[in-house]
Amino acid sequence: MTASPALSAERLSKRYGSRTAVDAVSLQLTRGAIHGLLGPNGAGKTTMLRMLLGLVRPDAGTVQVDGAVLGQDVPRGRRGVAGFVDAPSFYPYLTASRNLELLSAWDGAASHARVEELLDLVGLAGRAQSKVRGFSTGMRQRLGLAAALISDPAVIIVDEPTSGLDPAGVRDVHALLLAMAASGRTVLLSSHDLDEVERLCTDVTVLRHGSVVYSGGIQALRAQTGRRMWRLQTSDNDQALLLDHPHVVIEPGAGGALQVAASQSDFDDLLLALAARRVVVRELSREELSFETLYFQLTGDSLPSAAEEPAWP
Amino acid sequence: MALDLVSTPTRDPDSPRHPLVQTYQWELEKLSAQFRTRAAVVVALLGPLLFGVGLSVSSNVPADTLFGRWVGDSGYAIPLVVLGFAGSWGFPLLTCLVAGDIFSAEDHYGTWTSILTRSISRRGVFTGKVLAAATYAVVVLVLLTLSSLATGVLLVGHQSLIGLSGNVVSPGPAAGLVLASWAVALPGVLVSASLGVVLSVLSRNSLAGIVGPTVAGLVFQLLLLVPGLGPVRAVLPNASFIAWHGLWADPTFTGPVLTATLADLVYVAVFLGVAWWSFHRRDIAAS
Amino acid sequence: MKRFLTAGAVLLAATTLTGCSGGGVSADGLGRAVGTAYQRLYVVQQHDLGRTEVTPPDRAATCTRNGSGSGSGSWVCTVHFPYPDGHLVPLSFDVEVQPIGCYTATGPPAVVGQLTLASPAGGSVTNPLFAFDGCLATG
Repeated sequence: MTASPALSAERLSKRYGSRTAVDAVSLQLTRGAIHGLLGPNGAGKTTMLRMLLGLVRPDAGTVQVDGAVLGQDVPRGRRGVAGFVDAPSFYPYLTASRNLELLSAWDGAASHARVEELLDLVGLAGRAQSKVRGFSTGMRQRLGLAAALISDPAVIIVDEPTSGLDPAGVRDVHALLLAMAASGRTVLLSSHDLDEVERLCTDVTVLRHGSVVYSGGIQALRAQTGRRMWRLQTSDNDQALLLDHPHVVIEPGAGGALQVAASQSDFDDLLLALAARRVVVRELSREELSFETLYFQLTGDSLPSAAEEPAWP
Repeated sequence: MALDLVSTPTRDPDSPRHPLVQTYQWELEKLSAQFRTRAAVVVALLGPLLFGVGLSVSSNVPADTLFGRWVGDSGYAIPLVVLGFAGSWGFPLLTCLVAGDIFSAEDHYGTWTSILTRSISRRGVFTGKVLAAATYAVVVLVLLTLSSLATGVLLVGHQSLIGLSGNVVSPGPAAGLVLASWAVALPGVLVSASLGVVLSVLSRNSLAGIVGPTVAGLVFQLLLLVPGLGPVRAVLPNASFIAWHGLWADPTFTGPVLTATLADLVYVAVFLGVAWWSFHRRDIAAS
Repeated sequence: MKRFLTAGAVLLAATTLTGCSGGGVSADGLGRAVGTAYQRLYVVQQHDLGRTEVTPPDRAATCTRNGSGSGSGSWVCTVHFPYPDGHLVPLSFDVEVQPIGCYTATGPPAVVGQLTLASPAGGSVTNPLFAFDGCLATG
C-alpha cells in the first residue's frame, strides 16, 4: 500500500498502575478500507480505541491523522475522527433527536435537517421524538452510529456496532459500514464477531496481552500460516482421533466427519499413519482454513494444540 | 436504511454562533430538562412566599435572626431574614443541586465518551459547564431575592425599617439596600458553586458534589461563630453571607464586603483551577 | 475510593483555614454602637407612643464585659433613660455580642416597656427598645 494511511498510530502504550493495557502498539488504517481490531477480552482493544478517540492519554506513542500528529488536547472530531467505544450512551431525559442536536452543537455543526437525515439513515426516523430512556440496546447502537456520523468523519471508529441488533439490524449496519468504505471513508471496526470481521474487513489487527500478534490482510494471514484444512470420512474416526502428531490438529467435525488442520507434508504423514493402522479414508475434501481457526491460532484461545505452537513453519 | 452518505454537514445558517456559545446553551438546556433543576427553581420562587405566609399566620417572630423581630412591621425585613437563612445552609444546597452534579452527571449517564470525541476541546466543554453552573446559581439567587422582596412588600407592606445602628431606613433606600445585600452574597454563592464543581469533577459522584458543599457550608457557618478567629473570619468563604450587615449600619461600613469579595475570588480561582487540572488530564476509561 | 479521598482532602483543606487572634469588639466600640442605637431607638419609641416633642437622650454608654477583657460574649451596657417628666434613670442593657460583630441588646421591661406597645392610633407596634440588634465593624 503506497498511499499514506488515513490514520496511523505509532507505538502507543498505556499502563494502568502496574498493568500494561497496551504495549507499543502500532496501527495503520488504509484509506477507504474497513480494518478489523480483534483480540480476546483484556487484550487492550478498548484502551486502544480510547487512545485513538482522545479519551485516554497514552503514556507513549503518537497518533497521526492525514500525516499530522494529533496532540492529546486536539479534539478528534475537529480532525475528522469520530466514533464510539463501549456501548454508546445518551441523555435518557432527552429525545433521540435532541440528543443528536446536542452532539451536533458540540461538533459546531448544529442542523436540524442533518439530524433528521441521520436518524432516517440508521432507521430511527420513527422514534426521533421518543426519549432515549425507553430505547433498547439495538436502538442505542443505531443512535450511536448516527452520532458518530454527525460530523461526516473521514475515519470512523466503532466498537461492537452490531451487538444487540436483530439480524435485519445487523444487515443494515453492515451495509452502512460497507457503503461508508465505498465512499472513501476509513472504518476501524472492533468486534468479537469473527464472521462479521471476515465478511467486512480487508485488514485486521489482532491484539493479545496488549501487543500486536498480527496486522495485515486476512488473505495474507491465510497464506502466511502455510496450513490447510481437510475434511475426512474414515472407516474408524475414534481410532483416527487417537493419533497424536505434534503439528496436526484433528477434531470431530459436522456430519460425522473429521476436521484436520495441518501443513501439506504433515497431512501426508497423517494419511500414512492412518493406513498403517488400517484406517481407511473414504472421503476427502480440502477447505479454506476458516478465519476463526486462524484467529484462535493467533490469540491462543481454545484449540489447545494450536495454542502451544504460536509459530508455524 | 438509505445509504445517502454524501451530503456533508453544514453549519446551520440560522445559528452562526461560536461553538462555546452553543455548548453553553446546550448545558442550560440539559439543566432545564432535569427535574431537580426545575424543583430548585420552584423552591427559590415559592419558598420565600410560603415562609412569608407562615409568618403572617404565626404569632411568633424569628427574633434570633437579624431583622427577625421586624417581620411584622416592615416588608423589607422578610427578604433579609430569608437571606440570613439562605446564607447558613440554603445557598450551598441550592447551588450545588446543579453545580455538584454538572460534571458527574456525565459519569452517571456514561456520556463523556459521546461529548469528548466531538470537535470541541475539553477547555470548551469545561468552560461551557462552569458558565452554565454559574448562570444557574445567579438565577437562583435573583429568584430568591425578587421572590422574598415581593413576598415582604405584598404581605406586609413597604414601611420604614430599623437598621443595625438604630437608624430608620425609609422605604426607597430600604428596597435598594435589600437588593444590595443580596448582591453582596453573590460571590459567596459562586464559591459554593465552584466547590460543587470541583467535588463533582474529583468524586465523579453526584451525591458527593451535592452533599459535600452543603456539609462544608454548615462547617463554615460554625466556624463563623467560633470566638477568637480574628481576621481569618473575614476571609472565610461564607463571609460574604454576613458582609451585608455593614450596609445597614449608620455610618455604613463596607470593609467586610470588599475583603469577602476578594477572598471569594481567590476561592473560586483555586476551586476551578483544581477542577480544570483534574478534568483536562482525565482518562475517560471504563467506569 | 481514591477519588473520594481526594475530594475529602480538598474539603478539609478548605475548612482548616483557621488561625487565632484577639476578638475585635472593644468596650469603647460597643459603647458607641449601643449608645447611638439606643439614642435613635428611644426617639422611635417615643414617636410610636404618640409623643412628638422628644429630646434625644445622651448617647454615652458604658459597657463592661462579664468576665474580663474584650471580644464576643455577654456584656452589660449602661445608658440613661429620660422619663417624660425629665428625670433620668440609669438603664442597663444585657448585650450578647457574637463573634461576627453583631449584638442583641435586651432592656428591662419595667423601664423600656413590653415587647409590644399600644399605639395611640389603636393596634400595637413592636417596641424597639424591648430588644434590638445591631452590628459594628470589627476591623
